[in-house]
Amino acid sequence: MSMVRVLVGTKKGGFILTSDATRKKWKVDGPLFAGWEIYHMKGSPVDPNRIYASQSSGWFGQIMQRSSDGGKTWETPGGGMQKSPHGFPMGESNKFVYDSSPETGRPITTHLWYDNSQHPWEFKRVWHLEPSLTDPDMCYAGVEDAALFETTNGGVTWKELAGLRGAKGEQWQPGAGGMGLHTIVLDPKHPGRIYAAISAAGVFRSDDHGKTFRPVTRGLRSDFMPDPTAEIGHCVHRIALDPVKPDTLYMQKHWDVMRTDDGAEQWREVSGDLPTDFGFPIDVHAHQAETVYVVPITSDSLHYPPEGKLRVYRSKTGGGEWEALTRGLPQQDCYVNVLRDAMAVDKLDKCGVYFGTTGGQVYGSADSGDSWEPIVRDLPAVLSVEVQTLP
Amino acid sequence: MLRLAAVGRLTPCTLNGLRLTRLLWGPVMSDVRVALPFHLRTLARIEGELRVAVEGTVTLAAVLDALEKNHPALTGTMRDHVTRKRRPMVRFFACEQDISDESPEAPLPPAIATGAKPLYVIGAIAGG
Repeated sequence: MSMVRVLVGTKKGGFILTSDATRKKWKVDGPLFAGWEIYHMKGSPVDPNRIYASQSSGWFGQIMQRSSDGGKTWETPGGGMQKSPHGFPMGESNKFVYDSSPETGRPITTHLWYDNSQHPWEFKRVWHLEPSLTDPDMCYAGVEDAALFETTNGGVTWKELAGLRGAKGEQWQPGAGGMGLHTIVLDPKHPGRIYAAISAAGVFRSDDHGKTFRPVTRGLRSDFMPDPTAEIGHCVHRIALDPVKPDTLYMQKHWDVMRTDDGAEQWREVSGDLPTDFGFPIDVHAHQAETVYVVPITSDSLHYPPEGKLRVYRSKTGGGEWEALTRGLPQQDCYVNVLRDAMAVDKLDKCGVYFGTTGGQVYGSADSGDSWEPIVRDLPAVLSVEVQTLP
Repeated sequence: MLRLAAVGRLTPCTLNGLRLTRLLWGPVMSDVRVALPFHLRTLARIEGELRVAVEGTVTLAAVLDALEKNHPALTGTMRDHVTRKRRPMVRFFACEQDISDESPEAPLPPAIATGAKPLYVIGAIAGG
């Protein structure tokens, strides 16, 4: 019988929630890496036992963790007995150094700062991990200050794909939450196509495995920008690819829910009848094209649900028309937020949808969102939720 | 040649009993005690204080080098991989003195070098 494994990153550690395919009874394991912020955990689609985790701390910086047994045990890649060719222990799994070499990195040394001056690029943490669709030892990492890194040896070492910062990186500017590369989407239809989304720079696309990128923001409009339709500067919160129609992607922007049907060449707004089009997460049904989920949040100043009611909104028409999903969710006095990486879907026949809140609840729906139940209620603030569907 | 190199790195804190005797046979090795904060102990999978063998003059840099060599998972957690600068919210204490802003190449006090007292690595108090 199939199993579902939900990987939850929180402000104070990681948790793994497991259930059989009924998704009625859950086992909660954790905290993993107790006391550390776990920004993101994600499993390899090729080998679900291989899971990568981003562990960080304001004191001790970035740590990378890797499991090869589905999360039962963990190691810092290269941090144990592994030796370099010269015989020295290697401790470089948390070494993220921006590439400024003339050959690949170009000398991109600064980006735009809040006061419009130029500011040096400074590594702070890994926001998002995206394991390769074909190789469990290969994984991409989106970091703050925004850049894309890649490992080809299971996380032992990381190398920047500097072509991304070459896409007008000197014009990128951090938002209030920093300048993080928070979304990496690997296109299953077009090998080598990678989308990367950055707050507050925009969304970028590569068609050559990450060597070069270009902004793909046509159709976006952000009224806070001096030029609302400028190529660079949109505060993209999250993008998600429709697995049934991979040329269709959806976007939750700072304001506006958007979609594209041509691989991000052109975006159009599909906020439609949402009560507010501000929010963070967005995800797409595993099997039903055009079925999309968002969690509207009151505004950029009020990061909680409108009217104190926690509602997931679902569109079955690819946006435009939305329905509130409320059964099982608190409909009064609820003032939590759902962060951008804290929603995911499973791949079971009846698609499951999951999200975590800043109040520490993880909710799951085993019926595509029609009804919800809390899987666990009192975790630390949830930063990320990912799901693995196991055979 | 080895002995000369070792003599070149002699400091007062290594001039004592056993270590001076060992000088006749090879480079001076000091057995330094280090007390790590909770999160770094769990990361390195150690309990309590640890001891590291430091060759030559016992400096903060030499202790951290030895620490990272023995426990690679700690690399980058106390000082930057590239610049080797201390992370802003990590402090080092030796003999009740905050040495965080001293040169990492300065010899540590004899009590640290001889293992009489531990070098403390502290996560700065922060938050509210």
